[in-house]
Amino acid sequence: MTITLSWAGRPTLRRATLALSFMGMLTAGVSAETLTLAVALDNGSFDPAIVENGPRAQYWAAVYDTLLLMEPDGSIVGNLAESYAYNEDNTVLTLKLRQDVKFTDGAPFNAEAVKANVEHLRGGTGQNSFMVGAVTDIVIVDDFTVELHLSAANPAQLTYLTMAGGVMGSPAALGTEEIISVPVGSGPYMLDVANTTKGAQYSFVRNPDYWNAEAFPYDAVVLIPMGEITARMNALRSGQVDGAQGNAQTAAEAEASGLSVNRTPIDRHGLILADREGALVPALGDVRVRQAINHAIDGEGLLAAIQRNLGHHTTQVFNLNSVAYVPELDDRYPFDPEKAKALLAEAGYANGFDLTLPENPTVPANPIITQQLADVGIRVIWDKVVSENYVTEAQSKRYGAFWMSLSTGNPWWDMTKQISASGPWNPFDSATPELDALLAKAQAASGDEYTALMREVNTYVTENAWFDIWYQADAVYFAAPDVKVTMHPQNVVPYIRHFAPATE
Amino acid sequence: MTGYVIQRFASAMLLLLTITAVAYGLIYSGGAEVSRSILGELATDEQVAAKNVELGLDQPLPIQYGNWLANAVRGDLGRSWFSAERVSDAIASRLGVTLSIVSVAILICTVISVALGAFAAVRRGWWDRAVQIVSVIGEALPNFWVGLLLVATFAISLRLFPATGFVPLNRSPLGWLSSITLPVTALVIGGVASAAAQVRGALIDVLSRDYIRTLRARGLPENRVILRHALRNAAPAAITVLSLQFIGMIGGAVMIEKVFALPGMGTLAIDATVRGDIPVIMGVLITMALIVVVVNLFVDLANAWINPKARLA
Repeated sequence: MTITLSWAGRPTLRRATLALSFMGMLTAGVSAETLTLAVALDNGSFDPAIVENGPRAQYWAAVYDTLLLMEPDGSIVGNLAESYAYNEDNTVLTLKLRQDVKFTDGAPFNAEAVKANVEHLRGGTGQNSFMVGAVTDIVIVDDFTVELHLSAANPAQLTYLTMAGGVMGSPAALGTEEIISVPVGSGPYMLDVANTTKGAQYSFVRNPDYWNAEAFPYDAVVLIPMGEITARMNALRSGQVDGAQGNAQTAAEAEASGLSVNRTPIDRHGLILADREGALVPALGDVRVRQAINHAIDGEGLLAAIQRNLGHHTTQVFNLNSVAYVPELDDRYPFDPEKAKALLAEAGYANGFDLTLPENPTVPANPIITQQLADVGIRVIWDKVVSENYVTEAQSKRYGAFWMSLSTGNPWWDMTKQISASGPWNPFDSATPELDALLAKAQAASGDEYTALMREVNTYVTENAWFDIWYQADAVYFAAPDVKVTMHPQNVVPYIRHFAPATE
Repeated sequence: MTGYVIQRFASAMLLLLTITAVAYGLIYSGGAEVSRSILGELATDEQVAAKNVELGLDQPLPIQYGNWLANAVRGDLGRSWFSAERVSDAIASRLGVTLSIVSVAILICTVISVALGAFAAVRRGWWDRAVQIVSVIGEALPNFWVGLLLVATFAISLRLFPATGFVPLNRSPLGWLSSITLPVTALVIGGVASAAAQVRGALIDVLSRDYIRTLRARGLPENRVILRHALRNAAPAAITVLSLQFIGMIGGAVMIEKVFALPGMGTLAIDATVRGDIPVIMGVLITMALIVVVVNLFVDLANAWINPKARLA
């Protein structure tokens, strides 16, 4: 931490300032070799079966290593597993493990450890147990080779192994009471229990035996939970922390304060036009009506008004950097109320219709949606919903359409959430033989064939207006000028390995 | 006096019981789908159903509450549904933060408000009006806004104090002092205002009494009249107001904790409420309720001790 006395007062005052600044320094405890980050959520548990992706990933990424690693460009490379290979039909994944890795309790990392971890995650009730849900058998070939046998090919499996689904804890510690608060991993750092207070501060010191120390330039890491954006901003601006999750609304202020504003597209915002059979809202059963909604709402305008243009206008549910993304599709539904009216008339709704939507009071777009849909004759009736219950209400099949923001990343994972008939965001279980056939082919495919098929899937749901997507909002991360941040391509905050001292 | 103590104690217990029962009912109706949010959006219906059984959410509300109460009475507040942390541990690590800032704030508040109130009551006139105006302004300013202003000035521009965070007293007394200075100041500015006005009112009331006139007539020095007699008789009103301030500050601390990212009870309560983590919410609630009840009990007993007439109430 550097302290600059920008004002020259009387000597006594200056001395007092210095003394007090020193006090501030004591409390912050920041040195050049320490990376201090504010995290928007407190850590839940350090149990590898419970750890989460999203903002909480920074906690476990300090102490646990994953089997595989996702590069900033989205490609997947080896990590604890030096190499990986699929069999012919992508149902057996063979992992060759590093032989020089130990957990911090001294236990060796080997095939047995992988087996224990996969079983622990699969059998647990963590949010990410689905990430190894397809694994039916774990076969130990030799000490450092293990095969994951899948019930069916899963194009997202490798991605999962780079995230919470690939976290490896010491087999001896799995399932114990202690690992909830004291992690035992093989990662770059160890929790410094003496300087950690749950809810207040998590301190980490280097794991002296870590095999890949040069990938982690900082000698110590401190993570401080800070829920409020205002508090995170103040901590950044006063030099207390080196990095923190930001948002579009505060990005200009951050930039003006000399902080770096790092971005990557993550959350797609828009409506899920869920009742594609017209079971609840007959009008939505007509593809022209759903397309009309796409033309009626000004996604670009919403991006500017709400997200301050920190994002990208798109009509697609897939991540801009994923293989499923089709750039041309973004021009499919230009904002065109006249066209919307024509489509509605064609579908027999020249006089419009009533559409009941659940109202999430935290969504600033609501009045704009009301206005723009009214302009083409669709009368929105809002049902008041408590924001904590919004997800349940949206998924309840009581609404033919609803607003939703979902994170995007691996296209197969995104497909599982919102396109698959069993996905939580496909409440009416929409499916068509054509789409089913495409998905079945894509599931078994790989390489260029997979890419082509996922683009077809994307084109299909976009053409058929399963959704009305407005934009993909950027994840925003602020950092001090002396810290270089590389964004994770599919996580809302960077992992610990993505931070380094800035070199001029 | 013993009968009075027993009576107060019984009513305190009844109050606690009512608060927890009502709260449980309110939270219950709000968060039925908590299992799904614990398990994540890709959990199957079977997993959700199993989790509901595990958490006892399949039971009727009175039975859920009964189970919680039975455990709570034995001192077992359960574990967080999300982090599996013991609720008692979670509260123990956060209570010190909230009590730190609130008790220091109330101490400073007492000293300043008694001084200001007495000054205004005795001097009256121009001084009195100034104190009243300052009080009204102080009360009108939201404490989180004052907090933000303090951070912008003293933490970001001047870098005299940390902008966020809390240092435990036993880790570094200086650090502790430095970390609570701004939050305490924010709380005190709001608190002093109304307390000073109350002290002023009570003191003016006492000073207009006949016995004060008599004391003055007997030639007692004015200092002695005010300090030994008037202030002492105005004390019950001041104690009551300050105890209310204390309770109010615990509530106000929720916002202050957010602004300063202090890991206190307010932060814990908000996080748990957003997630629907009933064991934690109930734990926080009963702790806060206990504090309020104890403070009230203490004030009642103190007043009863000072003024025997209050024992009849």
